Amino acid sequence: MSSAELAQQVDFHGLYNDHHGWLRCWLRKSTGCSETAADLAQDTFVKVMQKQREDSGFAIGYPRRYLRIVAGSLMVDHFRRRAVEKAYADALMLLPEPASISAEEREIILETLQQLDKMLDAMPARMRQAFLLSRLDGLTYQQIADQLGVSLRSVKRYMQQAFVQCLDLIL
Amino acid sequence: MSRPDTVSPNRQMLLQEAADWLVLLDAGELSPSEQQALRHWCQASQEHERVWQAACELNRHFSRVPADLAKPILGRQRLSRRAVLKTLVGAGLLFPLGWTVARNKPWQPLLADYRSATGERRALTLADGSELTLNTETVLDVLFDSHQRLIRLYGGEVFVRTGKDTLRPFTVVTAQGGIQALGTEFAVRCLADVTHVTVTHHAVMVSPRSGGSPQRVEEGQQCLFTPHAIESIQNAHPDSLAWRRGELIVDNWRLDTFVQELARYRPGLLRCDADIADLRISGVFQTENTDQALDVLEQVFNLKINRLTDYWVSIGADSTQET
Repeated sequence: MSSAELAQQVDFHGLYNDHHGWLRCWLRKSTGCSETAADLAQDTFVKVMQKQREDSGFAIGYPRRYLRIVAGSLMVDHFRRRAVEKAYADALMLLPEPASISAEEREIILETLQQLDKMLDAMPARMRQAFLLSRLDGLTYQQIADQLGVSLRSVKRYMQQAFVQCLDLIL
Repeated sequence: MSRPDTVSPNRQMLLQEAADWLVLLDAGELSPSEQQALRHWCQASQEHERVWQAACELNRHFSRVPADLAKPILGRQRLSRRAVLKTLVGAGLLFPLGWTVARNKPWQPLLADYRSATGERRALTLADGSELTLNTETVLDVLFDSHQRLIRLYGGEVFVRTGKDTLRPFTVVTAQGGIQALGTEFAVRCLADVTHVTVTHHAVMVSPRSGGSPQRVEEGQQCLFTPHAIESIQNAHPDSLAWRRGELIVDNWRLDTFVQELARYRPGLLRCDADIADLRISGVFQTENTDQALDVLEQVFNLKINRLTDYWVSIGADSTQET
């Protein structure tokens, strides 16, 4: 554990030197893969650096705790992306004429799915359900309300909040 | 979640307002005055415009993925994130205009009309009275117009009993070619690179896609064809359509062949060790209960069923039997 004093100014190199090895090790234990761990550690420090650039007053109280939060978030994201890739590959295998979709189109769809999945991941389950019924199944709000057994007003609220969350993510 | 240099007091408000408009648009056509108001809103500032473009893009995102494909992926069970950490900056996106939910037109082939899940058997009656039975993992489109009745079979296996319609021919098309009904009952199965046809009533005309002359396959016969040629026509095996009753009837089959066939009805991976692949199996198995079939293998044929998970089962020799 690092000492608890508040760093007024983050010395990036110092941060990197002091904690990179530790972070990689922690990530390796969490992911079970040293390559993934190396990538995620790298991404974590890039993120910290960006943060620092954006905000000159940026300070870290407990470096390892902070790094673990950032890295943890990247890790969750990493596995979510993997899950989507896997589900996508499975779905493609079930498809009729996979040859009718070019490799490029497949990539575009996958990337779009990744973005949508990220948006959906930030939603509570009910809201996500409502949002998917609306966007993918094309149901009206009333139909969604009936299906989920909630009021029309609730559906409107779910949808409104879902839109806000999505926009917040892409903007 | 705050990005200090981009957060303005307006940001949250703008997003809320944009979301209100999106909800209103979902309810249906805007009145002329609402349209006017929306236009005003969009043009109020550059920031408004930017938010609105993102809103349009959001909708386009959904129209860009085929719904059938996206549903199982996006709707999958998720572990709840302990904390919602919005850390990543949104990727650079294109911003074309338009709020039309013209879904999936370029993806028509992906949006097959009918599917059956693994292990599922599904019966359909079409508009002309034709009856289809879909075996496990089957995907097909039904394309009827004034000239023809066409079934496009993308994968799996279907049994067809055609309805009466002397004017419009009834055809099943696979990646390998077409099967035109000259009678009423037949089954078509897609295998890796070949199509397998079994005729149970009257006859069909089989036409490989790229060449080879069409040939008639009669009642009681089965036919295997590639895109280039008809490989074989022989007497149909009476048990090959037992799946319609939910049965898999095997008589002196190699174990690996049997396992491969059984695996069609079971989600996940099912395999057998190479050293027992040529063991012979006979019996009647229920396709709806593959676990039971595995139990039979274990008890009757003295095999060892290793369940790594429910979705990963491997069959091996039972070593305790030999010692």
